[in-house]
Amino acid sequence: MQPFEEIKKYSKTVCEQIRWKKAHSMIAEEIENHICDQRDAYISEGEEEETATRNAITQMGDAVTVGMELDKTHKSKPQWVLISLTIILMLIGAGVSYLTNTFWNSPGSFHIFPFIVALAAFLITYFLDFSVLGKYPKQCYLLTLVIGMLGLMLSSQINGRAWFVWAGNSVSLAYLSLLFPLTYSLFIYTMRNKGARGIIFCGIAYIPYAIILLLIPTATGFVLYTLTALILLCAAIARGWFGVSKKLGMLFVLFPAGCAAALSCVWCVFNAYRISRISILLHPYSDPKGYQTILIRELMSNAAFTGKGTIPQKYGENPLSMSFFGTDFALTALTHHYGWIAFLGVVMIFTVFSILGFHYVSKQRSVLGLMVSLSILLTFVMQAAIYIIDNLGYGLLSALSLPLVSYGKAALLINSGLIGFMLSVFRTGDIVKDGYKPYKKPGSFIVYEDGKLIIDLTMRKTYKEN
Amino acid sequence: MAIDKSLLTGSTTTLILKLLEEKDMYGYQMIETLARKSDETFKLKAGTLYPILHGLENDGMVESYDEKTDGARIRKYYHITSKGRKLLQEKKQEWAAYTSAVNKVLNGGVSYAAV
Repeated sequence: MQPFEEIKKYSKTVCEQIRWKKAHSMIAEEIENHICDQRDAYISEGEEEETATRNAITQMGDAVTVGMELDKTHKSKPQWVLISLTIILMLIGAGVSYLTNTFWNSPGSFHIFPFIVALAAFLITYFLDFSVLGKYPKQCYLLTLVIGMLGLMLSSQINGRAWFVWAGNSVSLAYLSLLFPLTYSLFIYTMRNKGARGIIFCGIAYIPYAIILLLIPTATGFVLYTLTALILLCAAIARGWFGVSKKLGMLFVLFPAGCAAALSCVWCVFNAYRISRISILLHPYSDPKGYQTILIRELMSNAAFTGKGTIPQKYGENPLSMSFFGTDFALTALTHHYGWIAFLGVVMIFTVFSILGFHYVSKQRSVLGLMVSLSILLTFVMQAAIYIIDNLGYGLLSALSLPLVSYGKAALLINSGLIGFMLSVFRTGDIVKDGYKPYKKPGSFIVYEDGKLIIDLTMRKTYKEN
Repeated sequence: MAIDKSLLTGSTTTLILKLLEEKDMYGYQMIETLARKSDETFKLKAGTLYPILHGLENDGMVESYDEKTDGARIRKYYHITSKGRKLLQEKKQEWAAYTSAVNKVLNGGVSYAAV
């Protein structure tokens, strides 16, 4: 047998003991490189290649034992709790859709098909593996940009917002704001190790998506995307992924972000619609447009702890028949129909999902894993938070969707696919390799290393950890 | 202070973290450096090293990154994290307490640590 084949045979035996196949290539590469290093050292000591290879393999230890030890460390993490919560949320969504189309808003027709497609999208992205996104990050960013631009060009304005209408179906372009954080996170991923230049490019790449969202226009989508982009950039800088000092990196991001926030506040003050929204929120009874806000607040304040709440007579017998209860105020309708217990139950599921999500996101070691999972989780959490606040009657921003629960085929499909990708990060993120180097702060020109005091008179950069 | 009962076998982890505290290294380099620094006392088998390294990486004590060598071979370097540094400090204190106690018994009640 050729020497290199012997090395391959050894690494194959090691990998055969490891049940998680996705980890095989990474482990095999490391082991083979180690044996080659050891073999080269023996050759430099005067051994023949064949003998050197054999000795290097012997030095590794028994392949089966090594493989069995590595098997204990390398296991995929299926995330059964999060999968269960996802399915529970989908079932609640199907239930709400059924109630909306039968009891609350009759006559309507309930279709289970969108939920089956959503479940399929979830499973496909879960098993497809998020690492596929890492293979084409710039393409994903550009493709989404092109979709956004084409969508805008081909859209129709319905109720002051861009919708894409095709063959009797319509999709709000506001849902692009659910995709933008993910594809923007992929752009950040491509800028790792690129220093301050990388941060500046990330700042530039933020702009096109933001413009699309402002042209749709969707204030909620814009806020969601902007906050997510800001948090993602700060997280990447805090982990040293750009290869610049954290203070400098933060300055690069937070200073323009602060300026933009100040300008946005000034814009809000002079924007009649925004002022009207604030006025409705603060004084709904004295504002003629405050009808919906008052209705939501009164339905919530008249809800029982369990069972159906009461409805003030002025709203008629079935105010829930209004179509927006199935889409933008499903939680209000649910609370009115089944009591605060239903509200607390749904909020509890979202809270547990989010806490677990942040726990697993914090454990991600790869740039791709953290960027993808954090972008999706933030999109999920912000959507849910905005929706819940809106359904209590105190929302300043219009709700986009309550992920997997509120009615809306496009949002349901996008959220299911996104959650599938996020759970695939939690499942297999451990083995993703990014090729980023941890940032090290420039240190002294005098270094103590291997028992020697090294004075670097060339003033070449030496490094030390914080 | 609580002493790890498997201190002798567990000391390999401490030694690996100590090596990485000085600089980022790849597996082969760690074995060579450890052998050299200990005057060939610690000749770690690669089959012992990698499961420990991968376990440390799973626990967030070290992180890894790839770097190409001149010969186009890709080497996986390990870098100690702040969590790993904290663990190393704890392990050092544990080891000091352990050796002090052993010395005290071996020397009839006199602790070198106290001298």
